[in-house]
Amino acid sequence: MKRQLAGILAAAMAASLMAGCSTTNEVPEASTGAGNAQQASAGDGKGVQLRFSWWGNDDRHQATQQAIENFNNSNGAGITVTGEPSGFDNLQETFATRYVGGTNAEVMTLNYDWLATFGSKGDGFLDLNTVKDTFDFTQYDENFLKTGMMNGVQEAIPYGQNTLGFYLNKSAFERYGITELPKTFEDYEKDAAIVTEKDPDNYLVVSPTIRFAATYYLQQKTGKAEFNDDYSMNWTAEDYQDAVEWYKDMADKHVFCSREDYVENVGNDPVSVAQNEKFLNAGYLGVMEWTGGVASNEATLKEKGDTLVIADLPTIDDAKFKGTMAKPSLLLAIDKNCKNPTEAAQFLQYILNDPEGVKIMGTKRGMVASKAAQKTLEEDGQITGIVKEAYDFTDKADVINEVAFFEAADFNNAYQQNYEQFEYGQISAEDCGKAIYEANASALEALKAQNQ
Amino acid sequence: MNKSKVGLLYILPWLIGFVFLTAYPFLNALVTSFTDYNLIGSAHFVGIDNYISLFTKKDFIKTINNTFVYTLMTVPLQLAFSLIVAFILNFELKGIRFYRTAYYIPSILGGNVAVAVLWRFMFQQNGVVNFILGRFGIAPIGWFSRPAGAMTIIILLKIWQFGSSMLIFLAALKNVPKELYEAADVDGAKKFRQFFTITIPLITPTIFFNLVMQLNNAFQEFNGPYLVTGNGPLNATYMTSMFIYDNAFKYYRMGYASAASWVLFSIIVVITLVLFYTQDKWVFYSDEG
Repeated sequence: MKRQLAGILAAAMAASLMAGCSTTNEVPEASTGAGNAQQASAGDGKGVQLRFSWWGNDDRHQATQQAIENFNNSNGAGITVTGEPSGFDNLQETFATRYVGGTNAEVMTLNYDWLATFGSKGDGFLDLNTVKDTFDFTQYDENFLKTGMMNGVQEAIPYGQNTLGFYLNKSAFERYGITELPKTFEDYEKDAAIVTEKDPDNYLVVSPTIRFAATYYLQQKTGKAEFNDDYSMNWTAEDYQDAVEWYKDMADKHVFCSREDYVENVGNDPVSVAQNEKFLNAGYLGVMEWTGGVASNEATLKEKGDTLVIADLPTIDDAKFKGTMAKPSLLLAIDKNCKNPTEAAQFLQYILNDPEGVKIMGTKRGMVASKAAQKTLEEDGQITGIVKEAYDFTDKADVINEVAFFEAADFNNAYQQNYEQFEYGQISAEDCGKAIYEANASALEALKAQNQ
Repeated sequence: MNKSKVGLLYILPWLIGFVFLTAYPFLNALVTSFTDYNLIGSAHFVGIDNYISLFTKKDFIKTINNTFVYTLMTVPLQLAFSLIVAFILNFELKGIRFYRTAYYIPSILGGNVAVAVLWRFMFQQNGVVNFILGRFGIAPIGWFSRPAGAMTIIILLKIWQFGSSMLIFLAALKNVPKELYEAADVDGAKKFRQFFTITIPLITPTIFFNLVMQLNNAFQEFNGPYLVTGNGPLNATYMTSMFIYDNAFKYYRMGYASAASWVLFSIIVVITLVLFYTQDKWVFYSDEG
């Protein structure tokens, strides 16, 4: 008897081990009381459980969790969404692992380059045309909607436009007696001299990556984007050399944060500085970042009593293009194997177009592209202050739209590693420019082979 | 049901876990290392290209170099430190149980996110470490932005987690027969001499065990450098395990990462075999007379 019991127990343990590996969208019968979950999920949504993944700072987490809670209470169809928030660290690695392992959330937030990496052939995510009766696509500009399209398939919905800009801590500038914020790079140099005379370790502008400033500079210099959709390059090794020399000069003058200071005070990876101690203490008097992050930056500075404003875009001498770069801020997609796509689309409709959901989600992800959402937020008085400024800034700014694979890790790494070596005196500017060019060319070749 | 079948059933959960979660990935990585698998597309056989590429690119060589420096610094220091602390805690002092627990806590905390944040605060420019150094007239050091400083931080973090080896040493010290020390006292041997002629030889099996375990851990170190210093600056704290992780999950070069993991595994195996081979010369097992 004991032996038989031991056998049963061992078998049960083994079975439970295997059960842990299985994935399902349905809630077990016993826990919902909803009868056959599979049947229920097909039509009325009863017993359907969905997960929604996103990243961000605390303000975004709170708003999204609140929206989820409201959706769960009010959808009337028994759909339960569970939030899966994360910070900004290791987003790509986490997503890739979950996506390939098939454990990703049914409704997911994507970075633009992930769409290009995992959905380049149009089969990486659910074809959203299959849920067009549930999700209202007419609220989106047709051309902007195409940024979520790969190989002719609408795989994702772009949330809004991200534009690269300069956001300055007005209060901190005023404390140094600077009442007029810089408009040109010459102004930045002059102001940096004033600031560093008193606080030699301070910098005017911090940026998560040197690539932002280098791209900004080279777009203005050449009038072209870095890459084209056909995986060809527009910039030469000499261009990259010029950009790193320009950045180093600006870092030496404390206009842009040096790599050494970034590693010491922020870390090794590109992350949001919204909660960084040096930024909050005005050791960095501004940030160069996408408009999507401006609300978080403003909110954390506000807690310290400081005011963040959007600055005019400075222009380099002899610029062929007097603007900045843009891309979709983030995109939302549904898992291609999702068993309840209609319910997933219902949730997306709630957070992206429905007045109730939109009001709760607010502007914590930057600007919204949905016309309905924009109207709701305007009527609700949420598009004010820095968010309103960001909208106006985006409307006015001349932009070059980046290709979908622009932010692939290989490119960011090429800039970071090589610029670091240059700044630390390990290699010359010429070698640095050449190394960035060669690394980018090699990465493009690999991407082309993979995606075509 | 006979006894052997019942025994097999008892270990079945572990066996299933071992086969699917250890043995299969282990062998799969070997096969993958000869392919260009990139997580997204299908894999193609590329022979030993990944291995050739590893040894012709300086970034991998740099991580191997870093890993050796890290191992050679942390293992002896951690062994010595844990032995000294275990030796002290072996005395019957007042409140000794509290100290034993307290010294073990860092090992439980390990290299987790909270510890990483704590260490960043401690070593940042206006952190407590620079504050203390300032009291001695030393100017603030940019610990994270200097290659040697960053390596020092992660070495200290590793040594700080000495609790496990300390406990093993403590158990070994308790097993050293007291009569030997009494006899040495009668012969007039000082405590210092007793430590090196009685204690150390009798705990060499434990030293050997801790050495092998620490070497294995150090070669595969990931959490500390990953969480505290990233891989910077100038890749000074870029360990081979991080290189494997980055190539697998950041750049999607699964074949290349698998090849790197097999190179690391081979290095660990060779060093462990060398240690086992040399143990005849310095490890004394009491049952061998």
